Amino acid sequence: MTGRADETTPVNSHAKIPFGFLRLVEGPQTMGRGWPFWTGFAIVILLAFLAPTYFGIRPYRVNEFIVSGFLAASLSILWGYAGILSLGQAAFFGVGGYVFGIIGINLFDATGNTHLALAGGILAPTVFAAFVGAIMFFARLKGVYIAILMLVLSLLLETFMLQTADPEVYRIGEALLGGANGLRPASDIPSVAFGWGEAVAEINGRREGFYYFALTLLIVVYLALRMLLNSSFGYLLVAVREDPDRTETFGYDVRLIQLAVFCLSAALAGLAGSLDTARINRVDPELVFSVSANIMVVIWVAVGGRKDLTTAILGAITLEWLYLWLTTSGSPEYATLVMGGILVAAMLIAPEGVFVWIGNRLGRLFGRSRTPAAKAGEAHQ
Amino acid sequence: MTAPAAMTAAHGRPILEIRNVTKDFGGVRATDDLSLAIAPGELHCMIGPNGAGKSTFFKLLMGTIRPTKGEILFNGEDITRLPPHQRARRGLGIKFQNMQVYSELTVFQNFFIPLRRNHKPSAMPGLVADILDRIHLSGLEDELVRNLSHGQQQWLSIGMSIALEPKVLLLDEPAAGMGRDETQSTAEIIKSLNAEGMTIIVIEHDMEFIRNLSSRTSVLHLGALFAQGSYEEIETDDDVRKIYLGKV
Amino acid sequence: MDAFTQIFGFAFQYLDSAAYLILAALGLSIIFGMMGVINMAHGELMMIGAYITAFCMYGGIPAPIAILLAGVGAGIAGMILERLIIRHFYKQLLSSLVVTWGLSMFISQVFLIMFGPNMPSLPTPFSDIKILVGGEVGFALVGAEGFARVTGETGRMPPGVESFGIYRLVMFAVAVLMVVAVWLLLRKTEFGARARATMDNPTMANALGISTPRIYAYTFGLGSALAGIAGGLFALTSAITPYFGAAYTARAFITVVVGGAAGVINGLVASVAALGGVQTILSNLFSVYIGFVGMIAAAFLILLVMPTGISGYMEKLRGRSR
Repeated sequence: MTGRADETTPVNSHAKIPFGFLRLVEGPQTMGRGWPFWTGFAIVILLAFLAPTYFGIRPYRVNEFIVSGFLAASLSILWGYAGILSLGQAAFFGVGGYVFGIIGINLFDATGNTHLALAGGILAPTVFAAFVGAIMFFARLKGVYIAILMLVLSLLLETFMLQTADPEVYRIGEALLGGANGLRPASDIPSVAFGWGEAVAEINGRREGFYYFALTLLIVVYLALRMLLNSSFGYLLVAVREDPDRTETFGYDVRLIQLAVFCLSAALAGLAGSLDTARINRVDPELVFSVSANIMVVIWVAVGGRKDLTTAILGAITLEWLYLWLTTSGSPEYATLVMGGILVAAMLIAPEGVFVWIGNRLGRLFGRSRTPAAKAGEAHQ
Repeated sequence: MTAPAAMTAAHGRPILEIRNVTKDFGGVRATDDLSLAIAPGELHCMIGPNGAGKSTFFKLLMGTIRPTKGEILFNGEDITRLPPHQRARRGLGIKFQNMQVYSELTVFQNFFIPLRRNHKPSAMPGLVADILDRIHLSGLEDELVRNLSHGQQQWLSIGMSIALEPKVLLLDEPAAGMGRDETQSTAEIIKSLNAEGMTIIVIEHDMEFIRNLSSRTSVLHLGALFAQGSYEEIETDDDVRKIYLGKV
Repeated sequence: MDAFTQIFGFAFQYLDSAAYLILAALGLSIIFGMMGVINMAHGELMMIGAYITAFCMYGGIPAPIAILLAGVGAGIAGMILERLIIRHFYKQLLSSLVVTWGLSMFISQVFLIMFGPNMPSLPTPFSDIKILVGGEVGFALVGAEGFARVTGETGRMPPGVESFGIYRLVMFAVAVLMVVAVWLLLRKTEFGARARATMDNPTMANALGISTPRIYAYTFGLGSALAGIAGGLFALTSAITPYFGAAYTARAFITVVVGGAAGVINGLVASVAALGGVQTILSNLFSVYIGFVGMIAAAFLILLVMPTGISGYMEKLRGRSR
């Protein structure tokens, strides 16, 4: 939490409440406030939207990064804000992907859209999380035990799905779970499609359409999460992270709060999984459930900065980009090597996160540019 | 030795009643058939040598641990099976021995959590300012809590518990680690809160502090209620002195 | 298959499973229990041990010495890691987990780049000697000749007769020896006393003149050396690849966490007994896969009932306040 009074003093003051929309999305739980930040934000968004046309960025490469943004957000709110490390975000990612695919295969021909598939891809992991979370949190499991349990769950799912090759047993409607080869028939896994009847917009995962769609969705989700995190619920998350016992003495059922954020995190991961399945029209166990899938999310968020939503997402996109650059220009072994090295270096040098460090520097830069009169005036409040 | 007397509540039903509560940890009996009744609006002190079971008693009251035997009643309701957050909602506030503040947040943000139970965020600046005035921390809303002195953090923790507007406030060592002046101020804070009608139970070691409060006092020894009476009676009781091994 | 054969096979599998778990998890358990660090690079330390063993044996050094050298090498590697990186993350379980995972990625990739995807495999020792159980053989310990006699002209085992390699039993014996040795080290030696004091209360230990950085380094080195020895032992039974250890890390991790931090040896033994048992029973009744799943599910269930592991639960029962 970045409520540091000694840094950019008056903006953080309890007495200063920004106007209108900003009031909702700014607050002590998220970095970045005031005109410098939002201007920069707007510029970045503009550049991002122009990138495919003017900078020659190829969407089919970049689309993957946008999805990772959702995944990073999911871990950030769970680990960074609520203090619950889960090494099994991939479990929800994978469940979302599979459910999207299964519903899509079965219903796409009939409905022509993927509304239900998306809904299922988000709801199924949420329900799954509610079930698992209820068991874990009401048994008062903490810390490393939750982390390992979620990893175990993800591995269990992977191992299970790997042996679902038998088409007689493992089929849901027209969808075959397909074992190691993934959900089949893969050609029937739809891309994201909205609309009814004649007016349907299908968004191909390898083209610009998906890029704009996913980017827009990411921005919407990002702003919505900022609102949530800066509301009373966000305060509670941080309180539960910092001192759950003390928070309990104020009358809050910590287990319910943990369960709520766990489910939200699962929903986001499920959304990411659904989008990814729609993007590549494929989902297989090694892709979505493996240990490396789990660890990559942790790396992005740990390196970017887990305690802040913006830095976590930026970390994910940057590291994915870096990884892609390394695998295409060098060789894959070096890519993994460098990622591992970056993780270690970042944990040592900038344990709060590289982007958090950058953000603090920028904040100080802009904080200093306030006029002395403004500071004096605010001090009198 | 002053025989533990059953409390006949002068003002009607006791607000807090502990009936024959026993707590065993394996082979150790931390609380031994303890019975106590607290009247509404009372200021009550719990003293006793180290290991007497005072903090365990508070944990039993708050629900952090469950008794092996016995019941606890709050306003006539049996709360023995309730978890801590339910007890807090019914009006039981506590400041534990390790004072528990959110050290990475500002003073104002610390108050957000307890205040939010009963108030909207818009009302908070005023409420916080009021409480800060009472606990000698005026004007420190934006100070990062880990930059506060130990004594200030103690007051903050007490303030946070007050912010919940509890019916009964449990304070475990509110003056721990404080100098003379701070201890004095703390006693005054407690007395003024009690004067407004808050029922307060205080655990303390510092005899000066207890003397200052001059209230009904219970002495715990080996988990059992050893003596009970007004502070003057306890202070002059030979047996009480003995269990403190000559210390006063 | 007659009852005796089944029981023997069952017991053999159990001991085999237990041996693997103990060897893989012993080093990790010490580090977790005594330093509050989850070392996700544990598998890579095992891998280093396997590679050292391999290189030694290619050069003609006999297996036992090669394995000891593997322990020494891995121990040194561990101490270097500890001094450079790990020491910044004590008692920060989650951060140590993340940073050691990065290390694990890094180390395994380095070995991949330097030595390629796999190394020539090593012969399993004592492979000539086998235990034969069941059918007309009954129970016999045979060498190469005896084995040839039993298989006869067909070259196949007669019906109802199972054969078991004894290296696995050797591994189990070594595992038990190592557990006992570590226990003795921690309980009966001065180093052990200092180590336990440091882990319990570093400030106090420091005030008593114990050099805490050195204790940390040595303890981590011990855990790493044990990993190296385990890697060496395993190298004689499986393919030697840079991802050699990674397969064991997750299972070792689970075993250690289920054992709990409160009693390093006790917890581990209890955990191995329970989880190994579940895996053996279920993989015999159903399939290897179910065995694995069942073990994981058992770990899950145990943690639900005993949130701080088996040893933590035992300690809570005994009523010690912590």
